[in-house]
Amino acid sequence: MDSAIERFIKSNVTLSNMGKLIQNLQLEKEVEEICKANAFNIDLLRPVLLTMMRGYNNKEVAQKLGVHRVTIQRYTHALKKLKESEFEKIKNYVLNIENEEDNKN
Amino acid sequence: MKKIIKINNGKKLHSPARMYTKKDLEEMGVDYVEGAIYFNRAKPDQSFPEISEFVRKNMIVLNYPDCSATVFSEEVLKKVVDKQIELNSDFIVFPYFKKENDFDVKSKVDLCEELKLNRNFSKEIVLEMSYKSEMPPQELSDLSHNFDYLSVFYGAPFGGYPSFSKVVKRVVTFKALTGKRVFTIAVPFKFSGEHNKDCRFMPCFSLVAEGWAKNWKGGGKKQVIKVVDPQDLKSKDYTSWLESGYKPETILNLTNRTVADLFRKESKILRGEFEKYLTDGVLNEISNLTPLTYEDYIYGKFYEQYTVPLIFSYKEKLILELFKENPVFGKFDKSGLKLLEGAIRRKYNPLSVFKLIQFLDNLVQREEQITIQELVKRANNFGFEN
Repeated sequence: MDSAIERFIKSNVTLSNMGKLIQNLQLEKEVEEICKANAFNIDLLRPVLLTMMRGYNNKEVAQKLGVHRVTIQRYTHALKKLKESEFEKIKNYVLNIENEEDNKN
Repeated sequence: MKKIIKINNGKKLHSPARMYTKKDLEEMGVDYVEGAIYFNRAKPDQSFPEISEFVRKNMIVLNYPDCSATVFSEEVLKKVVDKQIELNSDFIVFPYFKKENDFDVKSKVDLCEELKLNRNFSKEIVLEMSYKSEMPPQELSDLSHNFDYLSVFYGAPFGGYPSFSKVVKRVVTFKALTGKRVFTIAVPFKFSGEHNKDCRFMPCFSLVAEGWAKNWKGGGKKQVIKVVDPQDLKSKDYTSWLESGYKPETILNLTNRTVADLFRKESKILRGEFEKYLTDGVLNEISNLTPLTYEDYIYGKFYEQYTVPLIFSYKEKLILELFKENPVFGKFDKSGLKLLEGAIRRKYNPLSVFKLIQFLDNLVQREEQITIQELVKRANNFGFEN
């Protein structure tokens, strides 16, 4: 998955989105720390979170992503145990990327 | 680089696609993997196992006749091919035979040609050969109009640089000459590093081929308990883990258990779970690599000797998917495109290749009247402009 910097490089650079970049970098750093503490792979966390938010269960998520069901169970269990503030950070980070990609398309 | 490819019968293949066996799916706790390949293996004298409706609907079915222990004969070849056709397989594979020579491969190609010439036959054909084959690339390329995919049979539970580089060389040269896709079958997940005892976890075949199947033959009984360290992807025994900076009481975030727990003789289930989490994580990281992140990842995670073939294989993927298959360049004639391809190939690293192709794509879309000569000139100057 592209980092905040990579996405910034690919987008049109303006003064207004410089501020956004700094915000995103800060959020990315915080999300990286949360992922490290929980042994989350960010490339896997993003589709897990998105598919969960769309109402898929663990098995369906595993079938979509081609991973072991126990891996998805580990992620969902760990996500539920996060502090609300940490979960919100991850959710915002993932949704930011989705919005950027939707705008690009 | 992920791509969705529509095969002849309309089914969608999520490339690069891992091939899953029934045992893999059971172990994963799933009924199917969307858009992947179902590897339904059977010996030539056996019937293919039944396939579930879930699999049939959601996966590409490869009924694979395992002839790796069978000496080549045209009779057996015809029998295994007919069986696949009867079963309405999504692909028809002409498998590797034990110690087959290039003459045997050409006999397989002859049967491919017969099928292709049959007006009622519309399936995609996969021709398989061993990575050890010495058939010159140009000769294979000259025969390639008779099949749709090449499959390279590796057949090793543990890999090494000499065999790995041969596999990659075959894949890369075939793609470069034909623009066709390649599968790799019976590939190892672990490779030797600095020496034979240095074992590296490197499930990298999605970076080499468009589809791959893990080796199904065991590597022999292990005497010592070894587990792959997520920090450096080396397979190590307990002592080596402690020498790498872990303490016995260090808690591993992947399982929330200690290193000591992981290496207890009775912790077989725990080690199995650890391996599943690790494998899923690494395979996912690899499948999400981009031209921007590729080199850092492979130089950081894999033993350096393997990085050069991996650079070449990724470069070839980019050229195939972003240039050769790009409809934007379809308006130019073949000879012109060959010149342009030559200019693209002069770039060594994948990121430069990616940026150049993107640049050319934008140029062609912006300047409708641009000639191929101008494009070649711009490609040769790319990166050197003020």
